[in-house]
Amino acid sequence: MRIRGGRRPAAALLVWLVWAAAVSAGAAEPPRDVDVWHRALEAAVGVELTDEPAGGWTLGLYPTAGVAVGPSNWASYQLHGALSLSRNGRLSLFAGYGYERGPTSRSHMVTLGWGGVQRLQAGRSQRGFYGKFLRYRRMDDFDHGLHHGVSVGHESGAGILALSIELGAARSSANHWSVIGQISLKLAFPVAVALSRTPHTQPPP
Amino acid sequence: MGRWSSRFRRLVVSILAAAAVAAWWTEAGAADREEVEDLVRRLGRTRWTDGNAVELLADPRRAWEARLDLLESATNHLFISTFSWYEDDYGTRFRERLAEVIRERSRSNPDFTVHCLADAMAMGFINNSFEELEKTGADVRSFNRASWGVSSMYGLRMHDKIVVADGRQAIVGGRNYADIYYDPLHWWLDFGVLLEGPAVWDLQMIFLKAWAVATDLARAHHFAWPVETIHRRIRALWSTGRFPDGASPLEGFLDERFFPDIETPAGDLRVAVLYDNPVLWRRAPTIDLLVELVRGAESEVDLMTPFPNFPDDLSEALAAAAARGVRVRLIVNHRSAAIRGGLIQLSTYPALMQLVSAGAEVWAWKGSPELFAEVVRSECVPAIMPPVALHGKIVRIDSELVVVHSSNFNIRSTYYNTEAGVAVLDGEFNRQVRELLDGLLDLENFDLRCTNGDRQVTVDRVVERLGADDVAVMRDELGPWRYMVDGISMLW
Repeated sequence: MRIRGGRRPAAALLVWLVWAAAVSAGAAEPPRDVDVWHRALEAAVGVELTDEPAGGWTLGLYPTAGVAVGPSNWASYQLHGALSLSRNGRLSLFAGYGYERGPTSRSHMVTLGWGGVQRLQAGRSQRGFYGKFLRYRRMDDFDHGLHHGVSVGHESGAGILALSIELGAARSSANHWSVIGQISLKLAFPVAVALSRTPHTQPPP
Repeated sequence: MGRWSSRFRRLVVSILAAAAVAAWWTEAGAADREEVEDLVRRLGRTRWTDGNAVELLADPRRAWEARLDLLESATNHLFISTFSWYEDDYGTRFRERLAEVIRERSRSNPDFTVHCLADAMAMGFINNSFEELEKTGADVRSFNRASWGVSSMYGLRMHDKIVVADGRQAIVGGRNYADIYYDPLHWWLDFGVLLEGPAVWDLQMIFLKAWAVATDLARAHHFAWPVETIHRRIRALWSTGRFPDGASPLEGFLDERFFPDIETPAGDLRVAVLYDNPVLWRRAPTIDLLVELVRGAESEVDLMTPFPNFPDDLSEALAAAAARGVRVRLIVNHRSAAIRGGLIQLSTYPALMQLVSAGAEVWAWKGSPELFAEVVRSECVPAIMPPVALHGKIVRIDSELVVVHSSNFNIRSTYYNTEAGVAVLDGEFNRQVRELLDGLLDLENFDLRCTNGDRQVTVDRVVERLGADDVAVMRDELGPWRYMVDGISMLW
């Protein structure tokens, strides 16, 4: 048993060496073993590590103002403010407070989510926002009274424009239900403040 | 005797000198080739494979036929990824033919496998017409990074277009499935390559990983995961073939059914498969590669794209190449033939203005709407019309290298799309592309023969070189919009 156990790694190494030699010479064998193939082609299939943690924390400020269409208000205005904290490639989360008012109700909203203010690349580097969230609403329906609601959604912002989609439901103590299904178009003002001097990203290899 | 001796000495010296020059020339050429190979390998994040056969697919009729041939030839599997798949004539015909092939093959091979991956944003989400395809046994999935919570709503496009049949043949390039890519009477000029050889394995591996990602992330609970966790999961799959928990969705495919041995080399061409994905690399390896290739170009650079809103370093590399005497030809759509108008068209102007001013040859394809009016008026039915616009994405560098891609080489392709293509290192293939582009730029005063009778329609000019006057026009049109176009580049 010991001998066989000892031979296996040696045989695997031999196969891998033959494989690596063949690949480096431009010849190719069909992939038969997922590990051997990826080890041999590490340089070709390896992903870059530019956004692995470099230690830089960034605080994001994300105020928005916009209009939302869809139930339960059908057409409303919204004001939001969020703070985000992100560490490159490792973690990003945000929390915010918002207010909405429309013809049938007004809501106070508390939002928690993954994501935050981020750098976007166009011709020039810009600021944007990406987040997916869980939202609590305290909704005051003008006809049916107070509702408590929960929704999920995601929001994308590039420069001063942002779009948000949200789906959920709210219920009153009298068991009246309201559907929340909104698309919001917003003006946004993303700001990022570096909390440490460490570069946000390592230079590309 | 002395005179003959002297002549003989001169002859020997001449031969030796010629041999020395030839050796130097060959060595210099080999060194250049090695340098290019190394650049492609390092910056393109790929490998070279030998023994490939490559056919350039430029004519829409041949591009269509080649796809149907792939369907017909498949006995074990078909993998198809595409950005868009319309319900028009050619889109429907391809879908119906695929359904027939599945039905026929499934009778003799119950394991016949068909996977179709289509970008959900572009096709307006998977619609009812694909249900028929699924009923025949195909797996159809939408690629939608936004709904999986992987990226923003503007960063979600899968723009690569790949077809693989039996792990032996593949097509990659710029064509999706719609009339405009294949109808010879109303088509966009586009490029693709039909590949046979080990490069097909690399393309197939890309497809299988994209398929695995689409399958994995379609599970609803992944929406609740932090985006960084999902990115790490995708990166682990790409670099090791396994998800972080050690499971590999590829293992069921790594056998001779999906990756058959090659007994006889299909050809003798050296090919590298190129792939861009913003989750893996923030900036497309293809663009990093192109920038360096253009910087190192010695004599010629040809580049065709429908959307030349390049990242700054590519524009600057092209301008610098033109300034140092390299013949740079950029082939784009004229304003009158723009595939996307408005702000998207305006966003291409800064690069065009820069390149015209730097002395690059910027050729604009006009498509000639008058020609189409004339053909209709004269009731002429030609076998093929000149393309109405350009949608091809191709780069030719000096005398050996050609890149055929789905990438538009623009900002969107650099930072936000997934893209796929090939680099082909071969003098003959390079010459073929050069002749095709030369022919395109020389199209002037030719007769379009009608298939119905002896009539013919004369075409005057369908392409023109942009000059200083055009720069002035573009500057006027751009006006205050120049402050907006940078952001627009992210959208297209």
